[in-house]
Amino acid sequence: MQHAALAILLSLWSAETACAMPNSESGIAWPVQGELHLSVLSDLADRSALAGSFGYAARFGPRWANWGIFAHVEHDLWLATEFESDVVAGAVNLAIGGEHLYYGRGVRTSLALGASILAYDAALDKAGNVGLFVDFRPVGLRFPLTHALSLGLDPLTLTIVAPVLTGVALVQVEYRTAVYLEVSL
Amino acid sequence: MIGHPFGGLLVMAVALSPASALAYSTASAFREGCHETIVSGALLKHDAWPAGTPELPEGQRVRDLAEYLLDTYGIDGRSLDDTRRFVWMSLIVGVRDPDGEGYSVADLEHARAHRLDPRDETQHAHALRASVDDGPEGDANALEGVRQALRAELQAVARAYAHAPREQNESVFIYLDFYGRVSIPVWGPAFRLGRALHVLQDSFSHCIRSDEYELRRVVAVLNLVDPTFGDYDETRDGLPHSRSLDDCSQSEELQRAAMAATVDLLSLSAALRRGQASEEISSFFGRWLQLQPSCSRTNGFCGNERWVELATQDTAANPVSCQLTLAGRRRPPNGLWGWLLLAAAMARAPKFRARRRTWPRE
Repeated sequence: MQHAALAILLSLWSAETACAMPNSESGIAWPVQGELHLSVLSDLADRSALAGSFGYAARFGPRWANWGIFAHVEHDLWLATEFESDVVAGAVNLAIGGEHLYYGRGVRTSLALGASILAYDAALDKAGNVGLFVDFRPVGLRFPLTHALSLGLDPLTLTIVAPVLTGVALVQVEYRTAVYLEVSL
Repeated sequence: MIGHPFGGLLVMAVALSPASALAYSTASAFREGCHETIVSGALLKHDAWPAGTPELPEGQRVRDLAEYLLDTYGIDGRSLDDTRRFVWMSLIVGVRDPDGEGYSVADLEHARAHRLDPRDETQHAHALRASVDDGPEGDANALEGVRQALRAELQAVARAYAHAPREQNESVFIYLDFYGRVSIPVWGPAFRLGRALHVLQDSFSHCIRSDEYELRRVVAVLNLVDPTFGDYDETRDGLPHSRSLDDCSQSEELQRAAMAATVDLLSLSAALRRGQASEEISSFFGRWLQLQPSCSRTNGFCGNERWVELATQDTAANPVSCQLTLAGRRRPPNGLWGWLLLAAAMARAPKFRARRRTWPRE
């Protein structure tokens, strides 16, 4: 509840601030985004309650007014807890996606689809296995810092990292929180 | 000994979990792998391999999994052929099985159901007093329950051996990081032996043993279920479960004794394979699971105060307080602690898996 209230306040502030900015771009902008993300919990029955992962990502691509397309590249590292505590290299994910900005560009919704590549030798599969990557961000907040620089917060994403789809599937369902800095070139 | 405890994540799990789940623990994999250490030591240091030779399952997957587990436990498996690796893996999966039953150690829903199962047979299978094991006869009754639990597991070993070699493999569930519950083939006799070893080894962490008998006899059986559910009186219910005894690194002496008992039990496998182990089992119980009677607080547990002192250094009224420094405090009002603790846990985590360790360690 506290989180929801905070999110609404931030959203209103963000939208207000963003709305106040002149919407001068009438052509194509080329934003580049650097991101850090983190997820902690899973919600799947018969699974560990923990789905600890963290990582970094970059997005870049053209944006027309309130719509854009982008390429998404990320490295998602995973926390192993079952036999020992360890950080494994997880997966490298490559995707393309689309985004829509609204509320004066203070709020963003995006969806990316692509490939997930296993980046380490897991219990049953070797590095290099290629599967599916889906990243859906229903509501993210953007806070303009300067004319060309924005700070973004995606409080809750639904991300499926599935580098192994054959045999015993390796599917990580992550509920991430992501923060990013975006520069408009 | 695998990894190091990842207590931060466990604390995080509880910090983020509903308040009602504060009384549940996910236990063993967040701690030192005592069972696995002792089993691996018995096999690799004492060459106490179970009798018989399994038929290896077809395909590469089980070999990859054995390799992964050897690496995870930091064991140099280069001297082990595929058959030995399969036997080792089956024993390790078996000795872990009574605690997890193929579920994640961080599966709080399963932990709630399993770790606090108050049934008498469940308590005895972990070498603990059942709620009915009260009064002066409580230790004797509990130990008889432990013997019955161990005998049942050993009978399962004999049944597994009775199959034709190609039918001795069975499928069991194991929980693998990121994959979830996975069905894998194991060699039935070794898997069942692993489960039996769990009962035996728990009798070193959940019992006070006698110095007079070189830790071969039991002085007192600890109690988890009564302290957990609140109706606990030491005079009636015995000593409470001990977190400090659960940590096998607390006493090398106790660990050596558990190793000797493990080697001894593994040596029964030849008789179990023949299907003529009844006398050997009884003899084994006489060597390792016999009660030294009339020991209580009034006589310093027959001169075993040092073990009682170790046991009571860190008693646990319930499995969560076994694990958590947060136990007994009010949980933070939201999930913020979880995020902070994740950062702390990540800071404590060792570097990437590229690291390899060797085992046994000196």
